[in-house]
Amino acid sequence: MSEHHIVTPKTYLKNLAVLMVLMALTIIAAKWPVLHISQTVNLAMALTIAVAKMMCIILIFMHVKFSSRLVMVFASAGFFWLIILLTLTFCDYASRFWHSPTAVSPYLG
Amino acid sequence: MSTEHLVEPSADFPVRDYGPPRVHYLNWRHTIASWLLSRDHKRIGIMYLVSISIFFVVGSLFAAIFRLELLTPEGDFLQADTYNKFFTLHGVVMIFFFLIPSIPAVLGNFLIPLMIGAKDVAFPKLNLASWYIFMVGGTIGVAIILLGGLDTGWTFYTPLSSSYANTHVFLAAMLVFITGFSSILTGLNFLVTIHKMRAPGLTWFRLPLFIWAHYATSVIQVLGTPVLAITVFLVGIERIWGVGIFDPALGGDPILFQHMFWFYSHPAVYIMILPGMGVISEVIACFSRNRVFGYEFIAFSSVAIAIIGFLVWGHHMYVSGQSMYANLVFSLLTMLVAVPSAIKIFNWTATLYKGNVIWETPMLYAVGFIGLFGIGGGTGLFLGTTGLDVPLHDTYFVVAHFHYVMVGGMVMAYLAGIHFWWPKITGKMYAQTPAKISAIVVFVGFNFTFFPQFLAGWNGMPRRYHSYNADFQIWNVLSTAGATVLGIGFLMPAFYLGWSLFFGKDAGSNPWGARGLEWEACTSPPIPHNFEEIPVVTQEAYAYTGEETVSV
Repeated sequence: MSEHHIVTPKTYLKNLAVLMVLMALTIIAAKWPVLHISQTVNLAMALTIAVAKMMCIILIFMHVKFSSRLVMVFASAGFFWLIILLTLTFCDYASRFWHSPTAVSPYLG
Repeated sequence: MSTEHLVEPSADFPVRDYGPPRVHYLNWRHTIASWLLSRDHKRIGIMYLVSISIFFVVGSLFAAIFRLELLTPEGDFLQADTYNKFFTLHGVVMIFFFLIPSIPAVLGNFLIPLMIGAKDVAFPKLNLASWYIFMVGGTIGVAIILLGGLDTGWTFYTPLSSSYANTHVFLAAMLVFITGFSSILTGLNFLVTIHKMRAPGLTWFRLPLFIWAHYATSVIQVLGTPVLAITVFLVGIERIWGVGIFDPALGGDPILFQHMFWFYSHPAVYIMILPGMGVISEVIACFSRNRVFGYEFIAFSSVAIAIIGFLVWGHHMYVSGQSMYANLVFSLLTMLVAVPSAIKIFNWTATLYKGNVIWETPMLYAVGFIGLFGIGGGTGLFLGTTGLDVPLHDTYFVVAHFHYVMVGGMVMAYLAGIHFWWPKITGKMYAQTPAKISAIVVFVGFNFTFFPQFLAGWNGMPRRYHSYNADFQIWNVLSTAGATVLGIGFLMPAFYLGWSLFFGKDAGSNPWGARGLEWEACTSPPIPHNFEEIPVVTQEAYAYTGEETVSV
């Protein structure tokens, strides 16, 4: 059964190493002026690295990769719910100034 | 009685009526430690019953005090800030310590394993831990009351809560954070139990609708509650360390708090009402001796409410500064969420049609639920429309609306459930006449209390003020008088249910002639591990023939 999958210490150590590399990348992306291209690009870069770190933790450390499909569905559901929260909240911020044709949303630049 | 049974009759399950067992979950150990360290879902359910009953009394006393204040237009009994504390504490205690845990933690804990033919929940230790976490939250609640209270309203709106309130906001944030985990762990336990521990033959579409309702509720608890925990955590961070999250002076946005708060707190309304709907399905089916009309529709409507309920939170924020376009989207989605609720109401009514309706006490509460929830839900649509909400926002119309849903709906359902399963929980039958009188007194007292509030609100009386325009006094006098009647109605069960514990006659395993594993394969009270042998289910739920008899 997938629930009894044993993850070896080697796998954990590899995962730890990947996380360390990703952390180093986060710091480089934040501090190295050469990579300061624009706010949007830097945000995308930071979020991409963060998502990669998150996946390492959820899939390996939290064993979702080795679990049943039901567990995967519930793990995904959490993200689906997060998307609902973010989408509808940002809908408000994005459209707050639409009814005033001359105003520009301070949230969107 | 019918010869058809949900459980295949066999040597192990001869047919009902099992007499009271010599050893059952109530008498198999007598020490305090055997209760406080019990991993038996039934004992944990009873511990929740006692705890939330105490909190219900405390919350009701707060309401009684501010209803007294509202008898006259002047603030002559409570000062403004004291009044603020009383309505805040009433809300916090009732929502976090009564409405949210009541049906899931008491009836859900007690009944889910019995209904699905399991010996306990999936994680019994976690179940006990949930109760302790709940009690830690409750202790913080008591500390807040003793230390001087809280005055932010149960909604903790920023910047009042983060920057201005001088009461115990940080403790309250801790309370919400900690109590939330009790709710999350209970939901998690139920999800795993329902997925993994159903008896052989108990397929998804043979499950009682009570189980479907609890499944949907658990999904909300697990996926929604963490957002509230994060939100109050952020309020705490801003309050203590001045990190700008919600305070505009620090670069934050107070409306962001409302988005995050209502993302949980609107679905929380469904945490409160969905299990109640599950109770009503059981009671209506039993006392109309009819198969539930449109079983699949009611089952899926619970799931639909759990999902769509997460898309409507913005309808609390039409006048907050949220964009008018977001208002329109949330308003449309709000109309959508009414559909599954309406499906349930229509299907319960259709179940009554051509049924053999029996007016026992639980049925009186259940029928009361349908009417009052109908009014509460209908007025919710008034408030869900963007235009009408503007004049009605923050008036007593809103107060009346949510009390029709929460008290008229959820508390009526809770009382229906307590009266329905009391013989199973205790093995004793209560006196029917005072119970029926109590159901009628609660119904009358409830309408007497809250209907005048619709009229006061419609005429413009704002909520959360200790003094008001003298024109509104008539509605407030009526409401306070009604609250007195309602209080008597709520007190009555304490007496006749308490009496039944000592002097009630043995209920027998199935006094209502009901269908379901908890009635047909289980003694009253149940034995410590519920079943001598796990039952095998061979029929769908609610296979009533109309020939079952009531023996109370």
